[in-house]
Amino acid sequence: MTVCLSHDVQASKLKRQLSSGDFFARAHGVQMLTDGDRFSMEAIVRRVTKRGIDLVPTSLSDVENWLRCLAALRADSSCPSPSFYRPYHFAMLAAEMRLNRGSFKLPIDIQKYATRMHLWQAIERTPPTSVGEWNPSGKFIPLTALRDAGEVDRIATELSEIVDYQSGGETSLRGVYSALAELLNNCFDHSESADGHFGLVCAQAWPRGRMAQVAIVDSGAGIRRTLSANASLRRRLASENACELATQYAISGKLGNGHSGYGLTLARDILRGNSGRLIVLSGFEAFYSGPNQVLSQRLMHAWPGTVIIFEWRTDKDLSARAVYDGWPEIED
Amino acid sequence: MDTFVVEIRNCFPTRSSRPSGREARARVITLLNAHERVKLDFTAVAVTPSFADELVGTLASNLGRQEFEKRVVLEGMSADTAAIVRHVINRRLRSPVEASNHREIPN
Repeated sequence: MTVCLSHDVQASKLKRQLSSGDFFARAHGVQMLTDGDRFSMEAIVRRVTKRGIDLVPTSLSDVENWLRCLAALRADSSCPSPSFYRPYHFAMLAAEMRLNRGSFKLPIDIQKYATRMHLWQAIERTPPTSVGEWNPSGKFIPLTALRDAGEVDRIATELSEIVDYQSGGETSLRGVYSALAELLNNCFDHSESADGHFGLVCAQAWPRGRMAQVAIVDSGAGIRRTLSANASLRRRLASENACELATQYAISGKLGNGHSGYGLTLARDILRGNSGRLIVLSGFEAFYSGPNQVLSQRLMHAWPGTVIIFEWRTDKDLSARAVYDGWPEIED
Repeated sequence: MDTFVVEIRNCFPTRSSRPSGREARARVITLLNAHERVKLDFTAVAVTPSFADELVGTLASNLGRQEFEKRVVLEGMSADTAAIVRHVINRRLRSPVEASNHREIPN
């Protein structure tokens, strides 16, 4: 069976809106923007200034849309393809491909980019095309399976290099290393599933867009089930959103059993100081924390496992010091 | 005073997970059994809260504050690392459960 992701082309409209399309393509390597799709240009770029481009940040509804597309892919073997792929698109699609043994067909212009981002290679499939490998240093991390603890450390260090490279060394590199390594370890610890699937991670920086994103995806037990292992949380879980609960200080399914629940709390608090965004999906639940908005909601389509999207401004600090100093030192 | 210096960067190349923090603590405890004092040099390294909690937080809890301060020296920490380390030590020492569990490590 072939599963297709296709452009729902509104190319002429998109090209009119993208009057400086060549500029984008040259400056950012976002060659897929020269083609159109059902998403309008306004969904990708907010404005172009002399200082650069303001990319539209990822919203919870963007991720929900993608979840809906993947559900359609599962049901109908076809769905629209985004024209602007972010790390979460690749990571979630790869996880879906892993569950669906059919062969996946992407639009030709996306196919090369997806091959470069190791969409097929990360899940041990042969890519449909061959491309020259780029040196990703400081710009992106192709989709990678977190197979062992050493891989977690290597990816965390590469992510820190992205932060350092994109910020010109001005942000607190070590603070973000801590947050990302903690998240990756959480993913590695929680992604043990009966089918032996590993967690997946993918990252991309858009230098002129002054934004970067890391997506960490697994098909493990999911947040609600993991937290349910902690009896003291069961009452709260009955009425609260599990994804939001997991971002609170000292919340862990294994608290008192060697775990402290630092990962998502640290990510949320560091991003708050950076005007960045944290999006967490698990099962039918979702949580979004961004500038001026915190949302918890129920999803129409479930994600079997957990998706974490860590998106930050590369021109702002990512310091962890204030976060640690602000945490309480005694557990309730 | 007999002091053994541990360069975290060279001695513990993996510094992100709880298991790697536990391994590091086991090595430090072995050193504390052989030396009066151990100096942990964090120069040019970043650690995660989980690693720091296992290495220094639990070590402080096991030794007790007084013994920890007397026998473990922390140096070379960045502002972020110092904040993590301060947090995990204080949390472990102030947690009623953890504090009651502390035990002496023989010199």
